[in-house]
This record gives sequence, C-alpha cells and structure tokens, in this order.
Amino acid sequence: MRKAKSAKLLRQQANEILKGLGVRRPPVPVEQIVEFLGARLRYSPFDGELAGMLIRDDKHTTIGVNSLHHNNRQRFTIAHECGHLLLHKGKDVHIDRSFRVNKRDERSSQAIDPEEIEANRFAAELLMPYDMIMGDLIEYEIDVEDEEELKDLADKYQVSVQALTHRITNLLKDHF
Amino acid sequence: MSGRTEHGLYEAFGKLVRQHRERLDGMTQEKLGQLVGLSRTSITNIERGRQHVSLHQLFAIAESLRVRPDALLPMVGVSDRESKVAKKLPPGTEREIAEWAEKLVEE
Repeated sequence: MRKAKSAKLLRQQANEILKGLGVRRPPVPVEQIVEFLGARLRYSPFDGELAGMLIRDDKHTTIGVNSLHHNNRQRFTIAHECGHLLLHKGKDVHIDRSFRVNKRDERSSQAIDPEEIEANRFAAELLMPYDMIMGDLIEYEIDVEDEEELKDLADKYQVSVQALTHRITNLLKDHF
Repeated sequence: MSGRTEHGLYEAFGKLVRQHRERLDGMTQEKLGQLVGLSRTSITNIERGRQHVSLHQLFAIAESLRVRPDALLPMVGVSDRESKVAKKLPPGTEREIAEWAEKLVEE
C-alpha cells in the first residue's frame, strides 16, 4: 500500500482553490467550492453509517451528503469528498461510511487507507486553512485545554471541536 | 413501484425463470409447462415478459425449478439508468447505500 501524500502537498492544493475563489476568512464556503470544482451537491437523509459519497457517471460528478448529520459534520464530509474528487480520479465511486476525524475506527480499513487519510487531510486544510488558523492561534493565544476557547474557534470555522483539536494537534506536531 | 415499469418487471421475472429453468437438465419450456399446468406457449410468453403470472403460478414455477419463490423476484427500484450506478459500487455494498446512491444521481 502506498503512503499518503503529505499535509503540505495537500495544503497547496487546498490553498489554490481558496485563492481561486478569493476566500480570505472563515467559514470556508464548501458549497461554492463544490460548484467551483464542477460537481453537483445533493443532500439526502440516511439513517445509518454513511457520511457521504462521490459518484462520477457519464454526465455528472455528484457529491452526496447525509443530511441527518450535524451541519459541521456535513461540511467536513463535503470537504472530504472534494478531496476524493481532486486527488483520486481513478475510482468512480467513493463511499464514506463514517470516518472519524479524531479517533481511528478500528473496525474499518478506512482509517488506514491512504486515500481516506489524504481526503481527511485535504478536508482539514480546506476548512481550516493554514494561514487563517495559525493567525488565529497566535492572535488569540488559544489554550488547547480551554474547551470554551476551542468551541468559539470551532464555531468561527464551522467545524466540530473534535476536528479543530485534531487540526491543532497536527499543526503543533509539524512545528516542534 | 419506483424506477421500474410494469413491463420491465415481468421481463426481469421472465429472465430469471428462464435462467433457472436452463440450469436444470432436460427442463424444457414444454416440461415446465406440464409441471405447472400451463402450455408451452404460456411459458414462452412468461419468459419474455408478455404474460403476467399469478401468485400461485409463481409458487408452482419456483417449486418446479427447485428454487425459493423469492429467487425469481427481480430487485425492485433498479431501472436501467440507475443500475449503471449500482454497477460502479463495490461488490458487497449494502442495499440501502446502493439505493441512496441511485436516488442521488437520479435527480
């Protein structure tokens, strides 16, 4: 199995999109990004283990999102599918059952599949762009232990606290 | 009955009957007809989807072909356009997920 692409490489790709759309502050408009990438977005309820899907057919590329999930989670799913759309052209269908942002789901191979790792990394780079999040971390001197501060910052980016914590942890790893 | 026309349904049923019949040695249309009390022409028509069977005939056909009746029932809700998507799904994809995907693309 090949190794997943590094966060930095994926960061460049995410940043290009944000630049193309002129996004300068959070929350990142994921619906607009889907359109920018030439895909259709569909919301549909699914009562079970399914976050979203990317489907390519002869006419369209469709991103489907489980509309029963929390808004922040839906945004992450959309960003994750955008990652598949951009990075993994070989497969016509990507089914994302319920990827965890933080904990690895031991039952599923999705957590170790390089494509899933890449899509997750890409989603994090897209929703919490490097320059923006670093700027905020420095400006507000965010204390990772302070739940309220984290919650406020997560709300600003419209991501879950879990996704934000994971993002910050990874950024700190890069720096020290 | 979503996504499948009535005719398409009987056609799909007929195909399944034919497949199961041909798996059995010596099970001609004539023989099957005798077993279920129908003419050979009726079996031909059923296999082509031109004749509509009743419930008791479905059971009789299944018994003669030594399969469970549900083995002869086509999957509902999968039209030709939709099944293109179904074909792209990895084998073993749950039916609920396949149906969800089909609905998305249909719109």
